[in-house]
Amino acid sequence: MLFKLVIWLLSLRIGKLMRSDRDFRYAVREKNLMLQFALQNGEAVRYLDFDKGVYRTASGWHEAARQGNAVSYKGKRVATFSFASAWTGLALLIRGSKDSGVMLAAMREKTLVVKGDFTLFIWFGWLADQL
Amino acid sequence: MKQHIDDTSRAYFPAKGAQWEEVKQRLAAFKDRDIGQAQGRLNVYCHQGTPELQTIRDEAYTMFSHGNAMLGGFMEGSGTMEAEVLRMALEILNGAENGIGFITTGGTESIFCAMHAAREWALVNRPVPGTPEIITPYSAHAAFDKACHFLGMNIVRVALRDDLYADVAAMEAAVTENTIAIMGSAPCWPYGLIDPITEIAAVAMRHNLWMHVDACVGGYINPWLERLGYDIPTFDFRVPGVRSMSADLHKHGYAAKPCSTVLYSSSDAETYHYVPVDNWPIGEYRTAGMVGSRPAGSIATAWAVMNVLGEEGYVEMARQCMAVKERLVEGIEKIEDLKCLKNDSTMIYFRSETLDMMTIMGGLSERGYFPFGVFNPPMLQLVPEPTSDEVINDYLRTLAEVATGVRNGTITSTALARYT
Ligand SMILES: Cc1ncc(COP(=O)(O)O)c(C=O)c1O
Repeated sequence: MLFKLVIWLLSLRIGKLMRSDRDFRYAVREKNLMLQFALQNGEAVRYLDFDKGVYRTASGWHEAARQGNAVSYKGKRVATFSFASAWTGLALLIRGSKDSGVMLAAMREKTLVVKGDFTLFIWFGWLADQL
Repeated sequence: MKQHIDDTSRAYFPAKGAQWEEVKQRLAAFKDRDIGQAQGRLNVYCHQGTPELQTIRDEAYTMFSHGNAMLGGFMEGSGTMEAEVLRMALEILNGAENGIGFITTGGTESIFCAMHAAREWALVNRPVPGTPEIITPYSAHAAFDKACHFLGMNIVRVALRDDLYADVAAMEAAVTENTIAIMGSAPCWPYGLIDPITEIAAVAMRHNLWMHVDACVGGYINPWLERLGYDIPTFDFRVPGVRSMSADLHKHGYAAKPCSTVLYSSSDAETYHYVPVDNWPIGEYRTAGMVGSRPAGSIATAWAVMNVLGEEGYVEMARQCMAVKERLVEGIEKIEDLKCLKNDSTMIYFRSETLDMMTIMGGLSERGYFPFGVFNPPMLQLVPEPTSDEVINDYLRTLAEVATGVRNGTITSTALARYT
């Protein structure tokens, strides 16, 4: 499905930045956080895990996301972004990646639900700007 | 932070100077562009105190506005004034006879100094095999991350209990061979809660750790709330094991910024606090904290306000803050769907199960307010001050209007409260 494909491309792009972009590596070197993408029907999409300079990504659930809505898991800041559907997810990523207002409106309408550490919502905005 | 100017096509540095009267008008215009005093009063313009205190600060600052407190050692008057402020600070916070303190530019620098002293202390008293670590509750101020960053240490933020207080058992479990310090806030900024300082200090003693209390907000108000009969747990040097405290005079001490204190339980800490330098052309150079030159003006305001208010005056200020808090809490809770979080300070935190707090913030900022808040969980924060009924009523009226607008969908703009 297209949404999964877009998230996968995004994760590849981050991997490339981690390998080849010194400024990006510098910016995330101390970050210990995980962003989980999912659908509101309970389906996992993919996670992005930044662990003090080491980047991991895979489809499915990160173990932290299975533990509920805590803001942190073993010292790692964690957040789950659940989209109402793959299509809304796709639309939001395209329209909202450069405009946090679109994401905030989606949260109000519950087409996007952010659980866990809400500050990662801001960080995701930063991340999207780098891509 | 705004780094961009309005008009890039012109040069800003004038080739020829202008008359002070004209420059003064332009300066006043900047002030006018800032947020209105009344609208900012319960939040950004907090810790102003009464109009009388504002005048005292203005006059005291003016008397010392050219002074450099770095030279206090040579300036008989300024030096004594600073020493007296520190003595008063130690008296307020129950420091020991041989307790010492330093005036810094703010909570951040006080925390930096204390964490630096802890690191140096550990070199002698608790050498660690790896990178030194400090353990804090999740709610500790961001200044601890900054201090650790500058000092080459790691910060371990430990998840809170469900009631948002520090989880002492979890903090103790997080102690490793690299841990050198542990801390608690009294209260923390995000929730206004006083961590269980006595229990955290006991952990420090069990594991030979440096114990710091961040009383930046509470240092100069908790004692007065205690006098007023509020249930304030012991948080200061009376707690065994506490080695350092940060307490901001420019918050509830009502001094002008920048003015904070970093205090130590004993003069033994002096060795670990200072960074004496002598290998440069000037020879011996030792300053009070991180910075070199620093304002004598703000120290003068602290000295003046402390002497004008005295304990009685501070207690009265605290009483007024709590009275304003009570009125605001009552008003906020009358608004459908808004609930205040209980806390141990004068601050107010409110949230909603049903209304989107980001949209509430958007509505408030559209109406000239400057809403600040917390993300985890999304809440708005107010810092009550002795302020007029008009300011309180106007805030409550606006908030009620915004809540209604958010509920019925007529207000949709969102705002994010961020310290950037
Ligand atoms: C608990 C606490 N610690 C430290 C600080 C940092 O103080 P400053 O902004 O004066 O550096 C603050 C500021 O609000 C605070 O609330």
